[in-house]
Amino acid sequence: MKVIKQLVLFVVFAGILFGVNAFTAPIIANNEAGAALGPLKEVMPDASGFETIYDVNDLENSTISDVPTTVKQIYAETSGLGYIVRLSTTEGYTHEAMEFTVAIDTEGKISNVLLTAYPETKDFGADYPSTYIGQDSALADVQLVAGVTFSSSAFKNAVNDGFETLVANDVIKAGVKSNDQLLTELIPSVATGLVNESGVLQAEEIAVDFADKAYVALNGSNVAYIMGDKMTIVNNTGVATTYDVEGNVVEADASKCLADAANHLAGASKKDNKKAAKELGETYNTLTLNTHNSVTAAFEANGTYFFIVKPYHFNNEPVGYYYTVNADGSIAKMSADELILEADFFTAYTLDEAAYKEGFVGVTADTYSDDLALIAGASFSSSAGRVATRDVFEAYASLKGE
Amino acid sequence: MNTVMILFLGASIAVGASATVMGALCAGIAMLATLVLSNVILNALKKVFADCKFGATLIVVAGVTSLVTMLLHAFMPGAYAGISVYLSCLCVNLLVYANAEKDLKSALTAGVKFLIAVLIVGVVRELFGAGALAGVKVDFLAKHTINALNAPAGGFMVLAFVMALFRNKEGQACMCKDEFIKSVFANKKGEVE
Repeated sequence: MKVIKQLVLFVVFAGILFGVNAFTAPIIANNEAGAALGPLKEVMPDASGFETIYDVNDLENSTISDVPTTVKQIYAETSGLGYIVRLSTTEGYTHEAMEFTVAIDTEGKISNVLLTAYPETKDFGADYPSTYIGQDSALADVQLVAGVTFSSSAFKNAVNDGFETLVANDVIKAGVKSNDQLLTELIPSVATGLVNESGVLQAEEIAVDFADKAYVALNGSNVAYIMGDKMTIVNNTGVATTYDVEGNVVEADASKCLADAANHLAGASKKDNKKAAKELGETYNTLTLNTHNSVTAAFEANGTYFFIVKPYHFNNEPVGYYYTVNADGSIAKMSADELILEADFFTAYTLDEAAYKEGFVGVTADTYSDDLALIAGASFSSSAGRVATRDVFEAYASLKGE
Repeated sequence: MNTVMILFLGASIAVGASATVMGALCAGIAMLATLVLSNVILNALKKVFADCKFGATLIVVAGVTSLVTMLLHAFMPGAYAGISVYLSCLCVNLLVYANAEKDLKSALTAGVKFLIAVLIVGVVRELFGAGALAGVKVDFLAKHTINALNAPAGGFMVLAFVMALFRNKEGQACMCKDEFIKSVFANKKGEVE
């Protein structure tokens, strides 16, 4: 009898609990779904709800295609407030995931930014993400942070990826970029002497009365003049090339640019000439180049060439590299003012300097690979050698009309 | 007599759930609800289950604990998330069994005293351990937090200090725990079932 009574009590309670569970389970499920969307609510507090239109973990149910790897999820706010893009980039200095969430309104402008993971060694500032608020896909007024260019560049590129995805899939309209923005963005592809290896401008902006904007490369290699819908770039050997906003070379009167550039570019200096004399003998020709990379001077004597190159090292300082090139295009000799920067800091590398330089001898544009230039354990601080070697081969090819 | 502070009953949930004020409130409400509901049901069924009261008590307390846990999970999800493990301990908590068959007033009083005790511990731990009160940051204290208070060891320390205050206030030495348990579970012949 005791057992039966307890059994009945057990069954009654089981029934009650079943009923309560049926009542509370949907509420609990709703709460948990809401908790998962908590970070989205932080960037869009007035949101009613979200619909997932892209999820890297659920591609089958995604309605958006051709998405860069930095874009992880895209949500559409259900009452029409806009979109939320969750981004993750490893292009920063540490190559670890920098994660953030961007809210974009229906006009295609950023309404909020939330940085959720920042593994970089240098802080680009708590206010930096908020400088993107109000920007459309043109990102016209967004600057990189001096001294933290890798991290801020990675952030900007990821935001750009998010915008490109939304624009490419007709979710939002593209922002309109101004001519000077388009031309400035063209510089990394047409004048590598003005940018570092990450494509970040390494130049001083100067005021010139005939141009909207002008930039003088910090390594003295080039000056860029932006005038309306054209940009003229003058190199240190006195050669000017003019481009339109599409990046096409166009004919233009560059006399004003050439005259002004002479005030900012030294041409072949006395020091350059001394080095050339030492390598080529007292009789040599000073050459003009059609390239706009980091080669600042070129000389020739009896078919042997001597190039002076000033690439930007990893801390954006220009450093001198010197190449003697044979008539057949192979490197005869290579030297540099400094192969490793901040040697006290980077102690994990191994370098036999003589062997390293000897490794360049006999190398041609066809046989060159970047591994030759990089120093194990100091790949960042030896990256300038990579840039310098590539630029020398490009300059040599332009002299040969290739 | 506050059974948490004097007899150390319900201490596990008092320490585990009191890292924040909201967690402590949630635990206190859970304990109070479990005590009161269990008490009402068992008193109503006292005559029916007179010959198997221990088994019935177990079923009722476990059932009520599950009920309360589900309702808190649904209606206080934020606070529940931090203390869900400790809520399960209610069904084996001596404080509940001690008051299950007493009159409603005793159960209610025990529950309220537990609520007050765990709230005091929660306030002290959150204020000085996290520099906040019920999630609201207190600027001055937020800059000078004692992180140890957020850990279980810190919780025991705070509980010990508060217990010392209560005991001092209550005056004479309390009866030992074994005698108390016997007084709860002994049948009319004085034998513990």
